[in-house]
Amino acid sequence: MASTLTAEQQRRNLESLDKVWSTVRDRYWDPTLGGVDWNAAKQVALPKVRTARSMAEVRAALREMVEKLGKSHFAILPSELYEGLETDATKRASPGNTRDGSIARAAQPSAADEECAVGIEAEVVDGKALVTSVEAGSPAALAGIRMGWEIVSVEGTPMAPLISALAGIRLREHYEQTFLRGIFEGPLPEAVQAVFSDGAGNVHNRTLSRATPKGNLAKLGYTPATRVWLDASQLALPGDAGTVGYVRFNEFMDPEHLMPAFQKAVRECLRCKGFIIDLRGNPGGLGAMSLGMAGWFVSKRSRRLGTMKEREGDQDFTVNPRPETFEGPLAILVNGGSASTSEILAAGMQDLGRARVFGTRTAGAALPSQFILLPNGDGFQYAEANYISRGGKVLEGEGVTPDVTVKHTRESLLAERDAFIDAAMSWLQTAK
Amino acid sequence: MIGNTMKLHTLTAAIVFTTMALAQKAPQRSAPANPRLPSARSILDKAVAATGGKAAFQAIQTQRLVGKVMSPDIGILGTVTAYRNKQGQSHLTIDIPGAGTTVQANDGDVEWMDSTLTGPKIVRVASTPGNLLVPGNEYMTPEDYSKMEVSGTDSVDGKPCYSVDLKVKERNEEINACYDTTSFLALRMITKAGATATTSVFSDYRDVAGVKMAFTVRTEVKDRVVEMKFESITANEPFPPNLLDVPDDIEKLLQQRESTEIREAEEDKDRPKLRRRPAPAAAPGKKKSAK
Repeated sequence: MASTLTAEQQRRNLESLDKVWSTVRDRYWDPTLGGVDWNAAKQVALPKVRTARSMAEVRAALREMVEKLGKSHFAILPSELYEGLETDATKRASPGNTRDGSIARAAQPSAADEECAVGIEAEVVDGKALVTSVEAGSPAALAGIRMGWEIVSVEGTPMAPLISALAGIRLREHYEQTFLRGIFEGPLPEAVQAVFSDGAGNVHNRTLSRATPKGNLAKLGYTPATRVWLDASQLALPGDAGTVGYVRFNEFMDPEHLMPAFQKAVRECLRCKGFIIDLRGNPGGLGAMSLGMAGWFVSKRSRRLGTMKEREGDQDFTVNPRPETFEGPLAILVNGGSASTSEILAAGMQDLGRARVFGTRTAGAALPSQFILLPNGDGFQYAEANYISRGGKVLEGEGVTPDVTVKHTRESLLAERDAFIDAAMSWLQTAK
Repeated sequence: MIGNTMKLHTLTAAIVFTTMALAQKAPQRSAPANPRLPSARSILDKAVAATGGKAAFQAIQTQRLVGKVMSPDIGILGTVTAYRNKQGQSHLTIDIPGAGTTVQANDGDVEWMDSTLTGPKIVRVASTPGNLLVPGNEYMTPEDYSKMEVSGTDSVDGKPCYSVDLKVKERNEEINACYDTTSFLALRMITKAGATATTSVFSDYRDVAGVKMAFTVRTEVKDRVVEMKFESITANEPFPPNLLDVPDDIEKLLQQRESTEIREAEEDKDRPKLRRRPAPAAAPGKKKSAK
């Protein structure tokens, strides 16, 4: 196959290799890079980048190099994610653009070409891809999809072999959830064909249209644009035993909208019997938001969730108590899709004795990271710090172990019950 | 996860006030490290003259800075608005789309910040009324420095400069300043506080009320670069009404803190008690609204 890359692109790709390599060398929190022979890693990547015939091959070579570190929060992001963002690097990557300014237009999220969804959340339960929630009013809800249904195939591709292929990999639950979210996503106005099986074994063929995902389209710097949403409600405890505040959000991003919404949810529930923060499937985001949220539940000063350890020193994640705080019992829901800032919040509140954590072990992917732009226009996410929970535990690779293990069962899902919420509500009924 | 937005805010705050503290120092004595080089005192005297002279600085009662803040490495772009007066009162707002707004202010009795990300926070409370007011370096006397030495010559962005080591008394802060060998304007300052070194590079000097001020400041901490480009720096405009009023959330935190302090002080008689002016006196440009 002939190369699709110009000489200029090849030059930029080699510069990008240098940038990735030197950034890790200079910024990775452990100067020994965990014993990885980084010079050797570059020597392996160099000929691959030099002879690459496509950007895909360049990215594969760079990914292979950073994967030698064996840590989360390292990623090579395609330049397509940064379309519309004019920077020095993208200008160089797109000859002819002569506008001045190092960041002529930053953080302008675009809805164009956005992946649209059908409103299904799914997880692997006992080896099967099951619908765990259906968004009200979504195409899936309108098509009559129900909780607990098994996703048998999508666009003619059976799910079972794909799920089997994910078994045993690191961050399995995280990738399962990401995969199951992605299989329904695509551009408008295309629809997606899917086959489901209900609890009685009846097969349902559905053609699902897609819709713009809920939430605000948000981004910060070179992070890819993402839809951010927050759902808040008050749940009634049985027997007029009071109400419980409930809040769930999909990422720790878009603080301009998310933090006021979170504040409103807590403020309206300051006298509630309990509170639930649902971090299931939440991959994290801006670490500092965990401090602002924790401040609604921690009234004492100088309490920290944990410590970020950089090469140059430590930085505590210290909670800022709000003037008013919720003093009742707090439950935090997590699963293997809860990563990074979700883990920082859950682990810190657990270690402080301020929350009881329900669910399954979290992803164990909790390294503070940055996104930079490479000379070839691609993005590079790199971890620059390790994170130690208040209790002294390294979260990377370990995750947060719940106080109470909870898993979905098909029976409870078919009964339209969320076992995680049920377990938390059961505890909150008697918790002081 | 992005763990550095908060640091960026702190960092950009530092930049603004570094800029405003650009007026040159006038140390009492100097000890040239190399007899072929000018003395630190003479370099600093020329630097003061180059920027407009001490009298011009003394005439500046207030400053207002408006501009852009950016961190090109990570694609951050935002706006900054800062106020500071001669007494040392200050108010800074940084707004970064996607990360929210951070406000940090110091009225002399309490220094506070409020961030979209992390919420309101009391940074410091005065142990005696007004003792958080630290005048900018331009208003310091020579006695404020315990060390001033010329360490040699250097260059910043290709411009040769005299490197001068300074130590500010009672601040645990060491500064290496580099002054243009021709214009004597400060080209760079490296500030060391503890283990962290902050390097600020100054350019685009323009005249503001008879004083030359840098309209571009590039600051680097731990390999992370933050650049400030000011669109306007104005002098001697009154602060906006109520600018330094303590927000309700901060006031509540102060009240909680006082009650906690009192409770803790009762348990520990030797512990210093919180002191705060019951009714802060109005400072120039400051108007307290009724609460």
